Formats: sequence, C-alpha cells, structure tokens
Amino acid sequence: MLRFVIYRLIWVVITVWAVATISFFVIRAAPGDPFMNEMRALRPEVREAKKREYHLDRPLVAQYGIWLWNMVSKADLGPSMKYRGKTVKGIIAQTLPVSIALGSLAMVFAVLIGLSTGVVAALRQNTAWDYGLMGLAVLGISLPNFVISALLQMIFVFKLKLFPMGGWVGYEHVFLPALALSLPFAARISRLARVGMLEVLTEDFIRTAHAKGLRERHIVIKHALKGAILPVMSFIGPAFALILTGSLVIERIFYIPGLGKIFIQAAINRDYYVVLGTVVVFSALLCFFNFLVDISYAFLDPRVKLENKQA
Amino acid sequence: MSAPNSRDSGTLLRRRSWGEHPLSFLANLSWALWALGILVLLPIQDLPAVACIWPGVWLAVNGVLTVAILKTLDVPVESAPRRDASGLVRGTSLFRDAMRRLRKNQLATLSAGLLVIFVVLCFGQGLLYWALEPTELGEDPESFFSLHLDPYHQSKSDSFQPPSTRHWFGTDILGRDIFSRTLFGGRVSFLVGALATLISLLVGVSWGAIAGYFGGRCDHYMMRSVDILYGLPFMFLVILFLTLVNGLHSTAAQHREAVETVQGLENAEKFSEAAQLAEESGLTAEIRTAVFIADHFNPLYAIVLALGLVSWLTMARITRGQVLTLREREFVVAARTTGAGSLRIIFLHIVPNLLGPVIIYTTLTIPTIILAEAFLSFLGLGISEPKCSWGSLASDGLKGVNVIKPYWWLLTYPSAAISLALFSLNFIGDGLRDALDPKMKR
Repeated sequence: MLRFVIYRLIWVVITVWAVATISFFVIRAAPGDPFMNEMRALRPEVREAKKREYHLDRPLVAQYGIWLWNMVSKADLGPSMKYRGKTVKGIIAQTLPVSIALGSLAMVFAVLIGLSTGVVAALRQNTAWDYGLMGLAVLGISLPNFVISALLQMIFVFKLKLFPMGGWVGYEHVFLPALALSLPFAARISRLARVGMLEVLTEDFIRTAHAKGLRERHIVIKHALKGAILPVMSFIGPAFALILTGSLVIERIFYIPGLGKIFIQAAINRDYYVVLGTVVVFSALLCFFNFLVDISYAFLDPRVKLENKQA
Repeated sequence: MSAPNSRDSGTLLRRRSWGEHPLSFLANLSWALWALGILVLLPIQDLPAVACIWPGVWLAVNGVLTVAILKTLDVPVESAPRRDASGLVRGTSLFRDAMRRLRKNQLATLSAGLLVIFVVLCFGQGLLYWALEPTELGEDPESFFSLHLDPYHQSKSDSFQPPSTRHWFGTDILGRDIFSRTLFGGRVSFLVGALATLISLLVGVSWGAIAGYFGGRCDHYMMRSVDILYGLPFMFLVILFLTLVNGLHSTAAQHREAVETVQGLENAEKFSEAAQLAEESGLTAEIRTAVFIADHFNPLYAIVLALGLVSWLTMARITRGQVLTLREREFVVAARTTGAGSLRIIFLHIVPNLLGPVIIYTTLTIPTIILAEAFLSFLGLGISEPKCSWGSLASDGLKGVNVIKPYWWLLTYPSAAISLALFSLNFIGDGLRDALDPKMKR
C-alpha cells in the first residue's frame, strides 16, 4: 500500500515537471517578448533593460534552469512582467481560492445531480422518467458551456431576477456559475450511474436481498448504490480536468476573477512566468486529484489491486 | 391514401408501429424542419402576411402525410419464410442486422437527416461563395448573394439589424449577415471536427492495434504511456500551442512587408543590399521563419492538429482491448500460417474486424471535438477575424447581450446551430452504439 502511494506520488511530481518543461519551451518558441505589445512602443534601450531585469537576455536553457531552481528551492514562481511589482505567487494566492471554490462547488453539484437522476432513471427503467431524464442528459452533453450559461442567465437573471449576472462578491454570485459549470458533468455522471445501477440490479445478490424481504429503499441504498458509484468514481478524475478547463469559459462569462481568467490573459499577453505558474498549479491540482481518485477507487472496490505497476 | 378499402377478410393484419412505416422518416424530418422553419420565421418583424401561407401549406402537407401513414399502418402478416429445399434462404450479416436496428431508431434517423441538411447547407454556402464571389453578383451590394450568402460583406448602414426579410438572422456590428456567417462557421466547425477525428482515428487505431497485437513488453510500454498522457492537462497545452501559433501570425503580419522586400532583393541576387535592409528593419532569422510558417501553414490546421493529437487516447484503449481478443482467433492464425507479415495481419485482417466499436467511438468523438473547437474559439484562440466559427460567433454574441442593448440574435442563432448539430451527432452516436452493440442497450 505504502509503496503504491509513494510510487504514484513520484509520478505526480514527474508529470508536473514534464508539463512545466513542455509549457516553458512552447511559450518561449513564439517570436517576440512580453514587452512588444505595450500601449506605447518602448525605446530599444528600455526594452533591453527590461529584458535584462527579467533575465531574458540569458540563453534559454539558463533561464529554464533559474526558473526551475527558484521554483523548487524557494517556491518562487517569478515576477509578473505585465503587472508591475506583483509576483506570480501573489497573483495565484489571490485567484486560486476563487477557482477552487467555484470548481469544488461545481463538482458537488455534478455528483449530486448526476447520481440522483441516474439512480432514479435506472429504478424507473423504460418509463417516462427514464426517457425524460436521459433526454435531458443528452441535452447536457451536447450543449456547449457558453450556451448553458446564456440559458441560465436568461432564466435566472433576466426573467426571474433571482441572481446577479456576474461578479464575485457574495454567496449569491457562486450559485449560477457553479451550476453552469456542473451541468455537462452531471449529464455524463447521470448516464454512467444509470448503466452501473442497471448492471447491479440484475445481480444475484440483489435478488437474494429481495428474497430476504428487505425493503426496496434499503436494497437501493445499501447494496445497489455502490454499483452506481463505481463507474462514476472512474469518471471523476477526467471530470475534474474538464471542470478546470470549463472554468476558463465560465469565469469569462460570469466575470469571475479566477485563475482561469488570469491564465488566458497571460497566455495572450505572453506574460511568461504567470502562464507557467498557472500551468504548474493547474497540472499539480489535476495530478494530485487523479492520485486521490486512484487511491479511493482502490478502497471502494476491493477487486482493484493496489500494485506497483512497474514491470 | 392508398388504404385498401376492400380488404380480404381472410388475411391476417398486423399493426406496424410508426417507426416501421417506410414513410415515417420523411414525415419526422418534414415535421422537424417545419418546426425549425416556424422558429426562424417568428422573429422576423416585417414578414408580409402573404408569406404566412407557406408554413400553412407545409403544415397541411405534413398533416396529409401523417394521416396517410396512420391509415396504412396495418399490413397483412407475411407467412413465415419457409425453408424450401429448392429456394435459397437469404442470410443476414451482422452489419445488415445493425442497419435494420438503426433504421428503427427514429431519433437517430431524424438526427442523421437533419445533420445531412445542415452539412449540405454549410458546404453549399461555401461552394456558392467560391463560385459567385468573383462575378458581378459579388460586386453588387444589394444582390441576393451579398445579402444572404457572403459572410464578409459589410455595410455600415445595416449594423445591428434585428432579423428581417432583408437579413434573416440579423446583422452584427459591421453589418455582416449572421445567416451567412452561421453557415460559414458551421463549415469551419464541421471541417475541424471531421479532420481532427480522422487524425485521432489514425493515431489511436494504429497505436492500439500495434500494442494489442504484439503484446508483452511493447504493449506494456505503449499502454503505460497512454496512461501517463491521460493525466496531462491537455487543454492547457493546446491553449499554449495556439497562442504560439497566433503569436507567429501576428509577428508575421507585422513584418510581412519588410520580409517580402528582402525576399525580392534576394531573388534578384542583390545579397548585400538584402542583408543591409534586413539589418535596418530589424529582421532576424527568427522573424523570417515566423513569416514563412505563417504563409505556409493555415492556422486552422494548427487547431486540427492540436485537437486531433490530444483525443486519440481513448481510441487506442478501445482498439487494444478488441485486438487482444481478436488476435487469438482462427483467421489470424490462418493468416499467420500462410506467411502474412505482422503489419499485414494487423491492418488487413484485424483492423477491419474492429470497425464496430471504432465507428461508435468516432461518431462520439466528432461532437466532442466540435465542442472543444467552439471552446477555443470562444476564448479567442481558435479562428480569428474575419473568419469565424460557431464558438467565435457565440463569443461575439455574448458581448452583445446585456440589459442595455439586447442584440439577442447575435448569440441565439449560432448557439442554436451548434446545439442542434451536436445534438444530432450525439443521437446518431448513441443510435449507432445501440445498433452495433445491442448488448449495451438496456
């Protein structure tokens, strides 16, 4: 068990490092530098001085080494080149909590909505409930994020006037974006949960439970629900990645000052260290989450052996 | 219409379901198109009253068709096919069986019909634009072509017009027709979806087939790398890659003129002057490479390549799983005993036999890719102006919708188009899965 955990943790570190390295060289492969699109053109001397300030005059490999060393030894992600006087760490510390709050709430919504609708559809198989819910699930899978957001805004903001349109001040600002972010995943989870549940419901042990005279509710909650949860668990890792990317769009639509917005802005502005910092944070989050999912999967399903997969 | 009034009372009749009737597909499609047509007509404000006749006529036709189908639902029961010693008994193949099941799935057939109409519209617009743009129709700002089919045609006086008979879907800030732009965007989205899926198909099937066929250590390392790639945050790398491509293009746009002059001098073999000019205008080798790449590499291909190369992983896993069982089968052993090479066995004997799951997954990949492209274009990283895709149109539209200036048509029509297309694709994919793999249907 311990060996498995350590082995997977090492993989997390290697993956994050690989992503950081690829990103570093991809973003530096583009011609130009962060100072070329300033509002007023900089004089060549000023530009050179600025480049020197951020070590951009050194060879690329040396810059990579400096950046990596600072990150590993001092947890220093470098300065921002566009926002003067701000460090990448400061920017991330400011925006990451926002993204985490949004993402985790969306995750909770997705699992709650998805599991409940999936289980209901499976229990009422081939009824109007089943067809209706699964039709809605296709809707959720098909509609792009921005269409869902626009629809939700139309209903809840313009027609019902229940929620504010955007921004990030109080609790009422969290609900709508989180819902918009969660619906596509709720739809997928719902389909997975339905199939898993249907599979379990035909198993012998469910018949035994019925034969013993257990109550329907007891059978569903105690015995069958596990079958619905297992396929959902395996989807939660990829879902987390998709929620991270989906938040890029949602944060833009709902004017939320999150990490995704910073990332897109920095990528377009060529704010090197901000981009790299956000990518490192995102991939670390993702890999760590996948690691947690793997381990909890092994706990939920004793058939999955925790083994060191190295040959 | 042709309901037999004088039925032979002796024959047994069977009531077919709606979906079994050969005309039901036509009726379904006609009803769906009628409903869509009404939705398009409703917002048009200056619709002449005479034009309301056409939906009425269409409605009547639909009604007649529906009644006709309902009247001919009863058919005589065919006697069971007899196995005469003389006649041949027609067998059925797995594929024909699947197609029969698919035809019964009305949602899937309706979606297929709608999708075909969509694709024909989008690519028809492209064809007409290519054919008519150089003619005088393209010059005339008031021609049908300029008003309805030219996605680049601007007119200052027409900016932000709501849907009308002049512009069916309204116009944007530059007075460009949203109808033609929606069709154009659809073409881009479909193209990206199809090409990127093709790439993911080629890479994924080859990877999975080779890993599954050779097995052992090769399989282990190939699938392990797929596992690792699964954990990468691909969308972020794609975004970085696309900003790199966009950067190349903006740099190229800045320096194109200077590069062309230098190129001209070099072609005239005036190397010293060329070098001097290059020095003066600050042209480095880097910038010249950027211009070269931008000139020879459509940014659309960058999106196709990026999306195709990140979406083959699941395909590889599915293929490998299938190949693992297929390679033990007799026909593979037979091929090997006759001396066929490994690659020949893989691509000529094994790959054709895993078409079922691959087709299913392919049809489900296309909508995800279209969705991803819309996502990237929405963020301003995909297609750039004046070209557009459904994502970029919706992104522009979202900026136009707020309390003060409700230019709803900018957002509604592209969003409706992408939603309908993705709907259809998903329903077709689900239908194919149910048809080809009936075990999974419950």
